Amino acid sequence: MIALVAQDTQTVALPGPPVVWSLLWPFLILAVGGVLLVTVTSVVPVLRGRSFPAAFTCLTALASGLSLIPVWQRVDRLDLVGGTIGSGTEGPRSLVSGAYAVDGFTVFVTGVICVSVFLTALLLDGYLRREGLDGPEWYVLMLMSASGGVLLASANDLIVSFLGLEILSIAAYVMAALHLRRAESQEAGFKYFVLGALASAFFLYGIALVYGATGSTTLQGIFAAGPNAAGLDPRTDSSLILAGMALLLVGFAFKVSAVPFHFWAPDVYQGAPSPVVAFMASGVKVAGFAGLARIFLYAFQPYWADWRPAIAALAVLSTIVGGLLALAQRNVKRMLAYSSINHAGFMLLAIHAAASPDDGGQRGAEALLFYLLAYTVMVTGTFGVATIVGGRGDGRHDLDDYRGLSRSNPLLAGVMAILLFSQAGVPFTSGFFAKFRVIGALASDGSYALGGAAMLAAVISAVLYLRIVVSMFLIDNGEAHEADHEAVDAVAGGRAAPEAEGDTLVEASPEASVLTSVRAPAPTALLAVCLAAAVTLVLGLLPDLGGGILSDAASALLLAG
Amino acid sequence: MSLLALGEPYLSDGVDLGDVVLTVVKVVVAFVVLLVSVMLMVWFERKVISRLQNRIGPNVAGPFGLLQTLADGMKLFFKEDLIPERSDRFVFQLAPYLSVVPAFLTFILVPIAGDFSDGKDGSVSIAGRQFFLQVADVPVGILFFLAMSSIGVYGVMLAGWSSGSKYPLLGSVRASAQAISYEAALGLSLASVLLISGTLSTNEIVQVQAGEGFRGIIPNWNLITTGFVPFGIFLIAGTAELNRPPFDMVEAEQELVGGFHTEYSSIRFAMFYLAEFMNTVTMSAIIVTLFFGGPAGPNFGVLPGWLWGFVWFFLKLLVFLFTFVWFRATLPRLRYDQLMDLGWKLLIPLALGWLMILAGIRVAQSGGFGITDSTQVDTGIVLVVGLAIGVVAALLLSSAVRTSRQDRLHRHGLVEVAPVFELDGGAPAGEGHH
Amino acid sequence: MAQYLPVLALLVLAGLFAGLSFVASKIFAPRNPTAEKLAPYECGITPGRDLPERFPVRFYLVAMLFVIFDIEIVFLYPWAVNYQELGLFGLVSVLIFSALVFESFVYLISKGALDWGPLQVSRRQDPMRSADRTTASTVRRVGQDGRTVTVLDAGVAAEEAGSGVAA
Repeated sequence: MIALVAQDTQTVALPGPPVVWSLLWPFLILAVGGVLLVTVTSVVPVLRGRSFPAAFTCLTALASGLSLIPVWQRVDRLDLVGGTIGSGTEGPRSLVSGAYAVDGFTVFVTGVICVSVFLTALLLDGYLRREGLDGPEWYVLMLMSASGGVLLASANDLIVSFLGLEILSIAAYVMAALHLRRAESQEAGFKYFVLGALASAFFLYGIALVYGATGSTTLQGIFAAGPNAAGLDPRTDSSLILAGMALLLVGFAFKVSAVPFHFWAPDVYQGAPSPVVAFMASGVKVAGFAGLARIFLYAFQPYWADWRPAIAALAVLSTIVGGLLALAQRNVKRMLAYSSINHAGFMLLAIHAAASPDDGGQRGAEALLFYLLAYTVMVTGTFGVATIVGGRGDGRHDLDDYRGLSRSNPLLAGVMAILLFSQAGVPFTSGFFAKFRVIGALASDGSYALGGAAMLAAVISAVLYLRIVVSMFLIDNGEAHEADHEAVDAVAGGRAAPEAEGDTLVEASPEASVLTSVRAPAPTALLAVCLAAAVTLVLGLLPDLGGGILSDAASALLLAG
Repeated sequence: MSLLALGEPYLSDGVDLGDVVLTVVKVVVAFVVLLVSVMLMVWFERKVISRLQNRIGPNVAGPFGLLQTLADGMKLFFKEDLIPERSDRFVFQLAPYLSVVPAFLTFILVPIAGDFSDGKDGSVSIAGRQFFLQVADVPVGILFFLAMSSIGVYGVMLAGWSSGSKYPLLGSVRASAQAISYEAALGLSLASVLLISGTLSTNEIVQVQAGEGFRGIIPNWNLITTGFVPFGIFLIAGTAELNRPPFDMVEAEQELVGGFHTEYSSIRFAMFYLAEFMNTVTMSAIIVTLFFGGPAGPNFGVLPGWLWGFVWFFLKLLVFLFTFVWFRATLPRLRYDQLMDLGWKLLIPLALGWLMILAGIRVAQSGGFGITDSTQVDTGIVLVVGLAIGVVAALLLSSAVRTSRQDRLHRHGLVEVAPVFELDGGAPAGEGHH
Repeated sequence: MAQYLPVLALLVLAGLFAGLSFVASKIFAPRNPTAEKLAPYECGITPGRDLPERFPVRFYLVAMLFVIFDIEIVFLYPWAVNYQELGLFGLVSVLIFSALVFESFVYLISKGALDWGPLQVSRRQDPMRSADRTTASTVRRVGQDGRTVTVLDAGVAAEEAGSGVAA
């Protein structure tokens, strides 16, 4: 009946690009997981309950992370022997017509993003219960955003980068505004959206200019058109490519919130739901840095002398300004926002070092990767504690709200202390080695001035973290506060709420609700922050754990393609 | 069919004076044909409706009342033209243009005659110039049709919005929601036609359909080669796009007085009226072109070949003009939510699914899958798998609809009740007293 | 672009036709506007309230959904015209794309984004109108007191007691 009569036109089918599906699994699991979750919860309302989406998301992140192992084994072997995947015509270690790069760097960043998704899903579970929100949308958007992040980190073509960036960002904008009952959340989402869209515009215009200058959007093509390639005039269209690089850098600087493109960060971090901020500060930022590193360290490598000073300027401004402005804050989420700007500066310094043509390059790339991992874990954990302390309504983020945390929940205070010390770069925590590696790489590159600036910034920012720690541990001498806590203690003590019911028993007063939240945090959230603290400590005590992976991934970044 | 060969042969290499003259002649002929056809269509509709309602209909002006439309049109010139004081004057005056001009332009796509038998391309030669018997065979053909129908929506929407009155406003909001809802279904069902034809040009779509059909008896019309469903969707969506009954929510007299053109009078009203009927004629012609082979048909001699094309085209057109009138006389108007449900929850998914299955079958027929050695076995496999996926998709969709309904019931504190007829049947089960 | 010459010609002609008609109407039609004629049509009543300035967000939602589907159609057309050249790869790409659109469509429907009008065949959840209430439980039999012992559930019994007192 249908189309019984085939047309007799003789047409030659175009061959599709070869796709090595087995190497795409880490990305596919995240993306398909998100799609599956939204479909299943749409048609089976029973599964919309709060535990299923959280468990599903954790499992998806875990599965994606585990699927990295075979990919790593295959990629690592190829890195060593210098073989190719796919047809081989589109450059080594790239799939789908050179659009998607699979190498050690991709694998590493994907792993970090999976960690971020896993921890954030645990945090979200408790948060959504406490706020009385439901809906699998949060998890779906997070998975989508994460898959976009993986795409951005693996993109071997500027167009694919842009796709990844948009998938990453658009989901994040929505997540920031998803707490529909809080005006602050809406405001944060809107600000994030407007500024993010601006950044995307910069990015896209940069792509257009680079394409105009080099005639290619693939990273290989841009690299090959560079002055290093034989037989090319070093100054071909150089103003065009400089403008293109500048715009791309601005686009990325917005995404990773580097000074002076950081203005959105404190407002958005303050207003957006705390677990979402944990993801934005970790997963989204990591993906942004991965994209930045891949595009600049590989495609624009021939122009390294041109863009390196710009990176250095952004980095120094971010570290110093981020640290200084953080000191002026009283809202802990704002403080942490500035601290994340400060961290962004350190990671930019690592990229600066990695751009070095000599020995500093490898060390810089290693420092960047280590920093990404350490930062993801500790920032997720820190915002996790902020989520718990924020209480119902997610509004208690003043420094005063952390007073006496060591008394009301010593475990939470201890975990927070570890995470904050790590952020400050205190020895025996991962943060120390992260900063140490960055400064070491700068030193071996000969950039002593930048190294000095980094150390200065580290000292400045340490004060900020100490302020929070002091607030948690030193019960202040103000009588009023003491009395307050006594009263609240009495309220909560009389109640003796069992842990499981802790979140549902809050009708008495806002004070009591906060206390319940702090006294008996959601077990999943507690698990997440404890995991984060544990990893921070382990990485701090055994910094060379899996050191081979780090150096292989780093060399993949520098050799990519 | 290379891309460069698309379009009118006489315009493909430069334009000289003769080409311009030919173009002007074609345009003027098309213009006159359109206006006359609208005149006749209005008469036809009134007459048919009357007969279906056991009335006589117009029979005074001219033979059989043929000139009734003309008389009505003339009358409107002498009516007072009012522009309501609360209206947005500029937009109010612009809207009729936006409605009537696209209605004219859509007609360029329709090949109204031409000899398509034996693989001919339907062109005619006069004074060494080869041309098609349609106003213009633009390469983007079908896209032009969609563009014009979208612009037509602006006319209706702005007319209602600029009137500064509530009934037109409601009518125009409904109109735009309805039009864009059905445009998606319309576009998706069109995609099936494009899949079979492999071209956007209406002339070539007709050429493909003029080819030899199944066993030489059944014509190779897209109606059959796309498997009937896209035609059904197109007919329904097209009726909705035209705002004709049973989808005439836009001017539902009982609720909205006259809908979007309530505030229009005199010649401005005439323009909307004209556009509406012109669109009906054009839509019928487009349906004939896309699904029923347009002017393609057997050539029995006696008349010149191109005239046979016109005869076939006219007969097919008449069927659809009658169908639209028949719809109006027979079908009660849908309620607004039924209309939107039909469009979004049935037609769009159906059109999309059908397109995918059709494409799968076509690729399998050309050996694209290569599952087995035989393309026929491949086609069978693809058909079975495609239908299975279709069933799963339908299940997903229906459970999504159920979920949404349940949520709504829950939100409004309602319960789905089975009617309780038990009046005095003793105690309800499970209580066990007495 | 020569192919579009007739389109342009017809555009001009149609515009001229409409324009000249308006001119003719201006010449022939009487002009005698009064306040009543220029007022918004209100079925004969003096128009009272101003126009609503806001519309249900649903209409805007439909517009956004339309954009999504229109984009899908825009992607599908080039493929539909060239599907034979694109072969299996094109088909699979389009299938993935359509599956994603369909999946978000399912989500939208289940979220109720495409629900219109009132709910049909449903009833407010009202304790006075539940399926459990039959004449046996709501109608009090008089004249049977003391003859048969009817044990009703506590709530009904209490109600009965109350109504008994009131009576």
